[in-house]
Amino acid sequence: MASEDISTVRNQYEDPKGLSDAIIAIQELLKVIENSKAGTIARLRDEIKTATEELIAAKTSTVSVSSGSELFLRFITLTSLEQTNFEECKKLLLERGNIYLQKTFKSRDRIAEIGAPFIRDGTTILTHSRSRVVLRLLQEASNSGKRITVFITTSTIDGTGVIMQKFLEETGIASKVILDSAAGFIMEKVDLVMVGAEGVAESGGVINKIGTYQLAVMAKALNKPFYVIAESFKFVRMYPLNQDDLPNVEKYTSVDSGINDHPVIDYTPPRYITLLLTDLGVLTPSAVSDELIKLYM
Amino acid sequence: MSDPSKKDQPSKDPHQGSQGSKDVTSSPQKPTSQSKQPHSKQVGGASGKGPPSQSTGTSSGISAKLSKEEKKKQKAERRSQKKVETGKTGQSGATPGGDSGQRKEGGREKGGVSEQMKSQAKVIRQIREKSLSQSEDGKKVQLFSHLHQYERTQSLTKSLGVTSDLPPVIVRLAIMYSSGVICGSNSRCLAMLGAFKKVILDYSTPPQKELSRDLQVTIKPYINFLTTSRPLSVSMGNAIKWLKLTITNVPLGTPENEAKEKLCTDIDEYIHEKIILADEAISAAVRRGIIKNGDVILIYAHSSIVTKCLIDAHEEGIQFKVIIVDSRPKMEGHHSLKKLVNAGIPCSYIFINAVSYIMKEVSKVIVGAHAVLANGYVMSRVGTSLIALVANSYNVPVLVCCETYKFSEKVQTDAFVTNELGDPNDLVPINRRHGNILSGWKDLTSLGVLNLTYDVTSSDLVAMVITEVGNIPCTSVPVVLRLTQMNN
Repeated sequence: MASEDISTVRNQYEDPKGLSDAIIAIQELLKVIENSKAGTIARLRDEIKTATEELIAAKTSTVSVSSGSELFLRFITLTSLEQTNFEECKKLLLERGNIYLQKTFKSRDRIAEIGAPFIRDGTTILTHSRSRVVLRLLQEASNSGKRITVFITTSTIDGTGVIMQKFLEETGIASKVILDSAAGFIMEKVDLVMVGAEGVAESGGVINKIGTYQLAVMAKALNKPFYVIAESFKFVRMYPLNQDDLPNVEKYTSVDSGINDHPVIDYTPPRYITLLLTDLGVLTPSAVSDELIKLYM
Repeated sequence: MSDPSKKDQPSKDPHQGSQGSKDVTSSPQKPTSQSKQPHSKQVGGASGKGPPSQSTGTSSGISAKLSKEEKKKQKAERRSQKKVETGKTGQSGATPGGDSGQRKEGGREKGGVSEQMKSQAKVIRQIREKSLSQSEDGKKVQLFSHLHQYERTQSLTKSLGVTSDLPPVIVRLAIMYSSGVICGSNSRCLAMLGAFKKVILDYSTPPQKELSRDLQVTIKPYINFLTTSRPLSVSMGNAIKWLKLTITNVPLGTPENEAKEKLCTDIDEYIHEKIILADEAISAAVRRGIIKNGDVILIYAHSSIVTKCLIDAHEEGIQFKVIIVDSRPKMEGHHSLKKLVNAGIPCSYIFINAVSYIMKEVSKVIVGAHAVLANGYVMSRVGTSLIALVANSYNVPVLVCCETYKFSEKVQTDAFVTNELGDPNDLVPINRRHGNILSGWKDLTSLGVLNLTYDVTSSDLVAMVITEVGNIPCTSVPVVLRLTQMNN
């Protein structure tokens, strides 16, 4: 992939109103297949693999990109390709790829639909960092006439919480940014906690921006429901047992922000999660493994 | 056939008669038969008979015991004479339930099998009657009175005459089970399948019979006999279910040699796929992601799959230490210790009472399983749930290695409903200092000795189950069961 492509991709990742990282990655992969000059499936697969690695390197935290790419690859190569002609094969792959892409576009809408009953009129919500899915869900709730209040943690390192608050303001939702360390203080005032996810692990736990684990533990201590909003392409075949099991390449960033030694993601074990709202439906953490088996079969 | 039995034990009449006789229909009335039936229903895993009598069994079992006590006292003298005559044989009370349950099946099977069944049944009845005569000596703890207690005081084979048509390979297997020579879920299953292969090879279809029907019928009493030595493990039960299914599926009209060869190949394939390859896959998964450099792994007693994983990981070059936890009376940890030390792995050895002391040094706990139940609970050697509890309180993840053929459709939340009671006399020798302080336990009415074999660990204490189909959370066991059923 050309370097201009990489930089456009990086900008797209950063666009907060834009598409999910994994979807951007999938679009790029489709382009790779289209423009590929490979003559065999094996060659094509290698090209896709290298492209995936480049895409992963273009972003600081890569769990959703790698999971999305892997699921995409599985989806397009799922049934056997009986065509002997390689061009026919490629066409079929592209077709399937576009179908998959269309499905994923609709995933956020579907989640907004499913998650609507969880937010009632007068609910106070605590969220963490900036998640486009959560933003969409909250906007949907507000547009349907519900009055909600949202607290957002600053999530230092990149200050994405502040950006989230700006978007919420634009929609007209009453929102306030709080310090990461004030999460325990504010917990008694909120009705529920809602976070997005970078990746959903096989155990039912989630991998998300650093600070999510703390929120989850505090929510459990105060008996507040903890909901994770994630699209199904974020389901990843990882089974971490503790924080240490997260791959280092995804934990630590080499982007020069001067804070190289601090992890950017953490793992929240399934016992702190009440429910996962996904485009496959509302799942308990133990159902994630079931869905993963279905997705990967 | 009923006459000779009555001659032998004329005193056995009302209570024993229902269990002993071929009078299949009389059992519902008899409380003693009900009290034993729960055990038989659970034990005959392969036969898959539901336990409708189970709930009634326990309550009536207690009252039945009382009345049985009285009547036994009356007949004790007469019986003691018989004891001297015939010598004590058979496992104490090993078969009462097993036989009455299986008997019904025998009784329902009509036609030519009855001869074979009759003689087999007679032998088993004799064993049971003799052993019943001293089952009163076997003191059972009240809470576990619905379970049968296996005591090794009697010889299995004394009652088997020259005319017994149990193949010697089966008798040998039963003796190896009861004496503990073969111990461990996988070894027992492998030994059993090996023995059945020999049985199949030696088998010849009687004239006018179909192999697919008759072979099943032939095998049933062998399974019953194996149960008298030790209850079937879940792995053995699943293997027997599969074997019966395979035998039934032998196409009609296949020439005998071909059918027998095909069955043997099928058994070999089953062993290869479900046990050997599965173990390889589990070991690979453990090497790949679970054991890391610098880990301190805690294991309990002996599990063939866990020791295999550790040895393979060590050979791959991963640096880790192992702490082996052991417990009385089986002391299976010695076996693990030998294997691991010979492989060159740095090991420590502690007793189970020191587990909470050592747990803060441990990074992971890896245990094997006897079975994983449909609700995600893990049934394993007694002591495992204790270790899981301590591990959880120190935030140490507990991992269970289990092949999928050990997954059971049963649901159990505690270790009381079904379990295996071992010989309480095994707990009597304590150590040199205290000598035989327990040796007079049978005479003390206020003292009971309980030797449990299995316990059940709750699914929220287990972080992950490592199987050949992948690493799954405990709660996903029914998913795997469902998928394997779909594939069948």
